[in-house]
Amino acid sequence: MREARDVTDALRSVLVVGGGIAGVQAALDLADQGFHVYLVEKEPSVGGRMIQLQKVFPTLDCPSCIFTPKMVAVANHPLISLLTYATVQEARREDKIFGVKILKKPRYVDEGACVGCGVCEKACPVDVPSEFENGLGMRKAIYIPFAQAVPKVAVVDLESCILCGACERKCPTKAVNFTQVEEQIELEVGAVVLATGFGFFDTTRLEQFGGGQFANVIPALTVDRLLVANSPYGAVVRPSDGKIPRRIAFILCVGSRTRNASLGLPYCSRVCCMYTVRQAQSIILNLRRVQVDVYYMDIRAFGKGYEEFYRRAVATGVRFRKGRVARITEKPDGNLVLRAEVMGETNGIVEEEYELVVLALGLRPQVDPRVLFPDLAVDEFGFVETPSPKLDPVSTGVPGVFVAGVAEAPKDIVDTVMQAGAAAMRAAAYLTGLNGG
Amino acid sequence: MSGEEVLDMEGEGEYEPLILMFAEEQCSYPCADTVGLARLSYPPNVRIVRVRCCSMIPPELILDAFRKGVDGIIVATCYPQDCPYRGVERTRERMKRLEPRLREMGLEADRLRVEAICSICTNVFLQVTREMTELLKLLGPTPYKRAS
Amino acid sequence: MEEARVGVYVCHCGGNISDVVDVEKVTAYAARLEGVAVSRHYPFMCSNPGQALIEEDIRAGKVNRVVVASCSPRLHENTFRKALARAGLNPYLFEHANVREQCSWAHGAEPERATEKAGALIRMAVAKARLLEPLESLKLPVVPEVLVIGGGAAGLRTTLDLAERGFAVHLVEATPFLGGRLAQLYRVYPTDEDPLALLGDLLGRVVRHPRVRIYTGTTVEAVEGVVGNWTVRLAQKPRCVSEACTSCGRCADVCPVTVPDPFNYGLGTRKAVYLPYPEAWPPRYAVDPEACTHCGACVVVCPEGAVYLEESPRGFELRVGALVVATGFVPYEPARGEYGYGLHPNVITLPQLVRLFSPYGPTRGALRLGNREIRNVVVISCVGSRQTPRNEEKVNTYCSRCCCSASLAAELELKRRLPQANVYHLYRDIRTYARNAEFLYERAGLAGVLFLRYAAEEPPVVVPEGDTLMVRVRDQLTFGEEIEIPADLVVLATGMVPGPGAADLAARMKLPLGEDGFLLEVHPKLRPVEMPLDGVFVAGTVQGPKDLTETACSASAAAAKAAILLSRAQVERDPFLARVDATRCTGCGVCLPECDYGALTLVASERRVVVEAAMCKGCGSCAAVCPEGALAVCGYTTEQLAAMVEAAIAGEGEGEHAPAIDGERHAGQAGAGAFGAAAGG
Repeated sequence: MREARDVTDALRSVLVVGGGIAGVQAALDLADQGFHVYLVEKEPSVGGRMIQLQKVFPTLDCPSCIFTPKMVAVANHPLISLLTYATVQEARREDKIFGVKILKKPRYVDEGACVGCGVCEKACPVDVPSEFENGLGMRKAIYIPFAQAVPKVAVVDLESCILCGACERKCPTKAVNFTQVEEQIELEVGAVVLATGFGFFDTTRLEQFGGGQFANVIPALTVDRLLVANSPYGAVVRPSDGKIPRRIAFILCVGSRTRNASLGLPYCSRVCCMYTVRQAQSIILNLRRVQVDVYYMDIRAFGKGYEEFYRRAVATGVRFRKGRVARITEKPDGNLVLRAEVMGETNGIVEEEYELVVLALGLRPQVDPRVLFPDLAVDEFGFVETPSPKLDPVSTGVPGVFVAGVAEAPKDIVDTVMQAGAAAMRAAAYLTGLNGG
Repeated sequence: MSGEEVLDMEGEGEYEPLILMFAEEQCSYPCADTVGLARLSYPPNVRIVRVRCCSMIPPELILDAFRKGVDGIIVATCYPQDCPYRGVERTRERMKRLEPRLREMGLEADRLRVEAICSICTNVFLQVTREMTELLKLLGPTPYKRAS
Repeated sequence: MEEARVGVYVCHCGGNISDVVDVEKVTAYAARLEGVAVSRHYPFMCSNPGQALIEEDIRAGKVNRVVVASCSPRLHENTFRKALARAGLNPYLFEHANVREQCSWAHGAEPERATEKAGALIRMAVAKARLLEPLESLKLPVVPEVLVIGGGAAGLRTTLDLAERGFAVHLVEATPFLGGRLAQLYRVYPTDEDPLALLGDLLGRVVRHPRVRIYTGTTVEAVEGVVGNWTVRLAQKPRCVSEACTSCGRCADVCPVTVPDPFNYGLGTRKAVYLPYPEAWPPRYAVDPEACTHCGACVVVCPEGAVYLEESPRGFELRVGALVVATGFVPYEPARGEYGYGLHPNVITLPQLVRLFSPYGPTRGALRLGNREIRNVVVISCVGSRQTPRNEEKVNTYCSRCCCSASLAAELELKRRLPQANVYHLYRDIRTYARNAEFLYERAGLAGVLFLRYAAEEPPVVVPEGDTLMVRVRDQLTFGEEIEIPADLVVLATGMVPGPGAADLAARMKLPLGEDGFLLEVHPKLRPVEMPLDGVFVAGTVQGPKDLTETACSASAAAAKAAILLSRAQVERDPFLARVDATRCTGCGVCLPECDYGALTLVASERRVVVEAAMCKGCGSCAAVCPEGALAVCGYTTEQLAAMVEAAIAGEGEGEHAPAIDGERHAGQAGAGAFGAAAGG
């Protein structure tokens, strides 16, 4: 990685905030055109949400396989400076350029010396629930975020660390360094692309679904971590007792499409139908002997190949039941009873028992970018507004600031990649104009 | 089972089959890397040759490898939808056409295996290498001598 | 080829390798291999001092081929290639042996066998390295100009982006007017903006841009060349109206020919000389060559003398570096009888309804069909989309994405204009997935639109009964009640199908079409705007149904890809491409069907095949079948692969089962594999 201060011309530089698929794609599309890109990611590795998925719809590609080459490309690109475990503190407009201040958190591991061997993880005595596994598995207090992490460098979670020093002693390259401090980096760029991505709706709010307390009611991302090839348990099992579930329900629109503020938000999160169909099908192919029911309002299989994928899931035996689930109650054995009004083959109120229930949670923006740009227009849900959404859905109201991915509105990977390319293009055209082109 | 037979089986236990694997740089080769990364084990007698696409392997090279004394060959392709070159079907067909030639050479067709392995399909990788090793142990060593 | 002097460098990787593999033993073993001039080991080969070891040996003339035995090549292959280049050696004279991920890490419990395997892997790498030849990455010049095919929203967006980025853009449009389907809309949703204002703004910036050249009435005849250097032959149909035109319209007044108006989807008529709507661009009339009878009345009446009658198209050529296909879609045309379409004038399509809303439509914006009062309107979703295949017939199985939102917006407009009317929406799923589109659904419900849900297997039935249209449907939302609606107007929410440009261009340029008939991109997830043909990109609905926002993203993303290509003076490709040994090639042509990329051509007169390197992907499928061994992929030649295979097997005889055929065994080497006693050096 080049030294962050090594920029010669701010007007040919872009700051990309966020290292998920949107940020990575925008960074590549800009750097490939000859612009210098600073890609800042708050986690210790790029990858965002996509790298946590087991498969992507409708092609059933493994997201690792298709995304890691781009992650590696971003790390190796001569024109991209990758700053991980870092956040943008300030981006102040000074005439044509933005004066940017970045805070790089200390990993307590020397990035240049660490070779990603993982000996430190083996030495560490502390176990902590793994964020990458969505709480399913454990990681150590010093850890490499995941197998395909870029950069492949360990990081110390100081809050969980007991400072025993075992990692420091075992590290073959003497990379562990507890004297590291946070680093302030200052840069100047001509344009900014916001690609800060999303988080999920908070399940603890949903009392009628157990308020986050029922062990066998899990969020959808956890299913991906269970299904993935190198999953913590090597199988799809349910949290309460490790049994393989034979009756599974998926509930769509959890936290979405409702005007009842206690139940969620009114907008559609766009991707849940498809990722649920994908997960349902994967579960059937994985477990074989299993009944999978999907409770839905509408199945929004709108993209290329999506409708056909939906049909195949139906043919594979996934049962789709139109109706919203009103309540889940938990039985002593960990099973769950769903109460819903369905229409279709069966009509009316049903109560059905399941061994595992998956909530397709809605998407919410992860950060409020007004921290950096107070003049940025953001809608009531926190998504960035674009003044000309029909013909220029990446330019924000702030000149030189562009947006891509779910930071603008929920969308799937294809639409994110396209929008990231669009943001890169508009930023490039903007800079060309600034440079007198 | 007589004592002699038991001894014979033990004798065969010393034989570690030599397996050649052709792995594609986009999928099966990185999968072998991921296996190592996770410190998972498979028989050390697997020798991996990196290719861009398994469709670049001349069928004659496979037969030649058998003549030179390899016990088994695994051709590890991408999944068809992941393959950047659309070579999976071609590879499968060509390898299938080798089966009668192998039999002519006095070799069991099962010594050649074509398998799709994606870049994180570590269990598939382990399963295939393990199964191939066990199968070759059952089939016994190749009748072709290896040059020393 | 000079004699190969291989330098072998074994990395400890800080213990990751050396804790398991006996690196000294392996280094000593490598030193004894044929062709090896230098064999060293070092704690971190990827570090600067590690690389310096290699560079020094090269500069001193000791080695001219390099093998590094370390971690996976995916990590540091480029690092080491650069080291070779710095030392003045061709970077492709390098081979990697993966003795960490594929050796020490996977066989940590068996150090002896891991050591043996490391030796074997190095032996294989050396065998290949000895046969490596210097390679040059392919450099193709790039013409810094783009051709954008299609002048609708997508084509205009791409054009403006690229022009602003600094490239010369040629925009061609098959019809005499720019704007595509966007010009035919009444309102865009959910922003409720005027599409003609949006179009006017975008169009204005495009036509005023100094780097843009526009050719209307123009189609692509042929495309030749490769990425960076395309020669395109085009044909421009004469407009028959010059720039002297003031759009007064007298020509149309006197024209005797009347045809159904395609701009209004067949509702209403126009003349053979026409301007589709007042703000159309270019702002001059055009003659429709298919309708025109050459009577000449328009020529005579024009006060500016702007009209002329001309037959022959003008052919011309353009040379460009990249192509963007943006030829758009057409709405699905229901079959005669489909939901009563064609059997009754009050069964219309949603695009037709929108033309009725428009002040530039056939009724100047009056919502009127005949003299009938409109009391009950039924909108039927998914017409021509989400169809179920029956027998062998080709149907549209896909979802057209925008129709749900478009229908709801139209229903809100209907309710606005006809507050007393009942509006029924018969649907399968409401797919208002886009930003703020869900609120259209909410508002429609609040406005009193009634929603009925039907199953795919039981679509609604529309039967004309006298003047009325009886619509019958089984509604799931009322648990299966059969509902009958006497409709005054039935609107079919029709989907999108690819425009005629798609199949035509696909044939001319050998571009792939999906089963749905739309252009098929390289990879649906990660490369949605690229065609398998390098240097050809796709924007907008020709790739698949999209709304306007998605079209704009796709268009700008395609522009980005084109910009990446054009911003370089040259395109560089890695040199792992096929090459033909002309002395061995007999011109048998067995290789030709193996190439999906059109990189092989048989020059029959010379009885040999040539490789067009720019088209080649280096997959090697051709090389595998050549009976003469004339074809090879540089860097992965058959000889090199064979040498690796032989090296993998050779030397494995000791210590393992030696067959009874020839039982020479080296004493004392059982289990020690190929190394025997440690050798010096």
